[in-house]
Amino acid sequence: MRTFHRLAMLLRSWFRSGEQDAEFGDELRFHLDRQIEANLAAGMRPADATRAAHLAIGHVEGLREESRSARSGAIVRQMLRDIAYGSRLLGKAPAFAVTGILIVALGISAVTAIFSVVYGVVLRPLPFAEPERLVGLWTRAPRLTSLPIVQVNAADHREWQAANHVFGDIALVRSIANFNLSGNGEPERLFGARVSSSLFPVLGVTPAIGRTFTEDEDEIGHDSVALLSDGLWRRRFGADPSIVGRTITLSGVSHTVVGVMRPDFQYPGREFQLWTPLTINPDEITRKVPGYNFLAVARLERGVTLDQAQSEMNTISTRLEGAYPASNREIGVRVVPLMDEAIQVVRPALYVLLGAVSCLLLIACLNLSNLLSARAATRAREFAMRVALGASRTRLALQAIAEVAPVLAIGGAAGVVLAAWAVRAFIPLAPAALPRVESIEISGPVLAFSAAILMITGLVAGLLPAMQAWRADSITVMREESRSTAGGGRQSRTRGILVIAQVALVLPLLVGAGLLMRSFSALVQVDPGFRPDNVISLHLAIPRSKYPKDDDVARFCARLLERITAVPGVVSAGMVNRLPLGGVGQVNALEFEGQTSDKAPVTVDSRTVTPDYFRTMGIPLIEGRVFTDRDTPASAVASLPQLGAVSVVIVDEQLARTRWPGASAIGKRLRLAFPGAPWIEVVGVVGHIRHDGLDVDPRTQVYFNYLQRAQDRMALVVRGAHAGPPLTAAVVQAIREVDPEQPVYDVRSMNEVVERSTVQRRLSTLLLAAFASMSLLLTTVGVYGVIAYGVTQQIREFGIRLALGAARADVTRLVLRRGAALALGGTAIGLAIAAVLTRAMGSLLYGVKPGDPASFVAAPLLLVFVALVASYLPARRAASVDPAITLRGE
Amino acid sequence: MGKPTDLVQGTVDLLIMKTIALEPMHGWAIAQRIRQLSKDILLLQQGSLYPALQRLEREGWITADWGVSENNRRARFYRLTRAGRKHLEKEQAGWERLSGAITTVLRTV
Repeated sequence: MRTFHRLAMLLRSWFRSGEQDAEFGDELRFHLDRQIEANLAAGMRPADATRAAHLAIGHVEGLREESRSARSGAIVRQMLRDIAYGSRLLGKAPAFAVTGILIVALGISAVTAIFSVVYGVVLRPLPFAEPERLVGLWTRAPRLTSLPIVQVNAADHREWQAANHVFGDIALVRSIANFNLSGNGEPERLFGARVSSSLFPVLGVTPAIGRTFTEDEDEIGHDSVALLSDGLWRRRFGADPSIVGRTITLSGVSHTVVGVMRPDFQYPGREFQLWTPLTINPDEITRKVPGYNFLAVARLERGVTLDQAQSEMNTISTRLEGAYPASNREIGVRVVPLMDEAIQVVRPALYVLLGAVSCLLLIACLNLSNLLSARAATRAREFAMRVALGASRTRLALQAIAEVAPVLAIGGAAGVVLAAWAVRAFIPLAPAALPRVESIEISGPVLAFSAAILMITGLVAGLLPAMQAWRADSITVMREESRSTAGGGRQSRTRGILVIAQVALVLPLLVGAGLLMRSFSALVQVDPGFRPDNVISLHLAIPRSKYPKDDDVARFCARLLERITAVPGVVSAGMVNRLPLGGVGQVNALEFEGQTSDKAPVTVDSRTVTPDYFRTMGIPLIEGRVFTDRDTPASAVASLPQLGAVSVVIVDEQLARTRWPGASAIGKRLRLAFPGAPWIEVVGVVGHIRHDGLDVDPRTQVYFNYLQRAQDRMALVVRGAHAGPPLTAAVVQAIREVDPEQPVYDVRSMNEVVERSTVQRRLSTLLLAAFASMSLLLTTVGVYGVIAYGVTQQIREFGIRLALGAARADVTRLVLRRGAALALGGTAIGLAIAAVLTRAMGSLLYGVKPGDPASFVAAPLLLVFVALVASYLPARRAASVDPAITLRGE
Repeated sequence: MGKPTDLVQGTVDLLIMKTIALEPMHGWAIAQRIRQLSKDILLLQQGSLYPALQRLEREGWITADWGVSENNRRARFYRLTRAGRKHLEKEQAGWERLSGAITTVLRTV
């Protein structure tokens, strides 16, 4: 009962406080009147009666004030009033307000944008049920390859599924699958995945419409069904609600649509638009045909830890090694949390950016603090007077903080809007290597983080003016007003320290930006091994339904090339199965004739090319010959059906040099490291190229003839007199003439391809440089502010110096020296910070060491220069002072 | 005497609550009654009546309504709530115990 009463009182005092206040006034007046009456009745004179009554009741205004502040919720209402007051004050000082808002908006927008990326990519849990229990299984095959982990073998998967007790189902995904969608519109190539029916229960997802695959659809012959992504359904099929049951033609084969997935299902990545059932070649299950071609996903059973799962899988692998010594010798398993693999690579870069943006925010905070403190200094008299009149210092300090609130609110809102716009603009440009881009958005947690940052900013920035308000002392203020030469000692010193802190924070940013810029310029000067100018590229997925045999594919490629080379303006054209710097590769393990059997096989980039490929790409022929169309299959079937009978090969010069040093590679023989693979003869040596990236060079290249090893995913490269849209259009037209149903995709000039391979570095460098520039700007303003204020405070002193005979140049030098001193002080500290922080950047650099002297020297020089520039105007003002005026004035 | 403020605050509350225990009263009447009953010994200190009344009201021991006073004017009448009544009994018992103890000590020592 009492609680209700108290609650009712609380509500009433919240919503009816004005009323309550008025009522209390009435009550007091009633009391006064009665007391006066009683006094009069007791015989006092009217004046005395009134006075006595007032004395008896106490100070009326004081009582009312006390009542107001004792009322529940008074503190909050006071804060609101302070904020309103602060807003009015801001309205009268627009320059200050705008500057403050800009500073806050800048800091908040940068932090919010970067944090939303970090959160979406690294911190946010995967959009599946209980994602922390999802793991990926990978094969370790040190004997077969130098890669640390590779995909999974179907036969091993069967064994694991049967033997383990730590997972439920282990789902398999074949993630490299192109589908040519034809019928009702332009032929389009879709990125899809073949998945086992257990994938959806393992991930714990349900479709938006329809159903996912059933177990019997995992069988060959029953797998002509498809699941569409939400994006594909809306874009290509107009969000047709009756899509379930419709048939679509994928690569010439009719499939029935059984469902549509939700928009947030983007597994394995955001470019996947289609899923079909995974059917496994029975020869793979019986180990007749080897291959490590599948991604494996599983869910840990309840109560099972990652370590337990790993050790059980190790036990199973060891058993398989014994059971199948031919195929499983030294084959192991790695169990990894599902998300980790993708983000490992980008994590360092993201964290560096987060650190940089925190520096920016801190600098903005310090700038804001200086700004507020300068403003509070102009109100020093007001504060001193209010303290003298009885205001409590706590109230003044709280008020000083509350007055920051409107700047924070508007600046914060502007910052979030700016960040949202920046993120939206960034997403389509995001580098392909950045995983989980689909999870980047200004979501709840990101906003909460921004709000927290905003509040901390407000507290940090408001601390200085609050302290000034607290210390307001009328005597000191009056004394200062008479222009002593002290110049507001303590405050100036504090502000000087703040600026030094800003400089100390800017320096690491500048050094870091310098390092990244030097890395990037070193990177773009790397010779890729081919000449990308005037070359265009595009990709083709050749449907096996239309060209079932390898010979059919080869013939199709030959027809295409014949037609394309006839296009005017085309110098030469060729094809390769994986475009250099295109982001995807293909590797194989090789054995060499005459090598000792316990030597590990070499993993190489294996490529299928047409004869003119090397000429088109500008890859030099060093020895021997290129392929010709006269290299026909030597005889019929080899033991490995998908390879055909391979008999000629071209190696790159790096392989030739390391494998056969001092001798010619021509005529030597090698083979793929599969049991029963035939020997192949080397007929040519070409230049080595960078395939994975300009900054890495892990493998050599080996080239096979397209007639002998056909592939149905090919990249076409065309060298023209001038590579531009007209050439591209002509080439696409030529392809249409040969086969109107053949879609082409990823049409780009080779220069663009090379650029795109560096986009992640470019982006990091740009962002860090942007942050460094913004911070430098803020710091310059900070230095200017402090020096200018100092000059204003000491204008009399300068006047005296000039009157006593100092040259104007001396005064200028004096002020400039102050600016330089601030810069040098901050630089000293900043260099120490930079030395530590840049060590963490090691993995991001290329061709540059973290301790690179050029960057460490250039940054301080830049800072000192900037500080001098900032001090120049105040220095001029100090030097141009008329001593007579200043000595006479005030 | 220990903490004078606390003691004074507690006793003012007790006096007020006891005064309005019998019938609802407005602020002036409460002040008068306390003066009368204590034969002018207890004069509520300046400015302590209304803060005490408001505190008691916030705590929920007393509640107030507007009414008409004896001279036909609008006044705010305070009365005990049920919880307040119980609180009063408890506090009164405590006070009597305390003052009894003090008296005993003063007499014997």
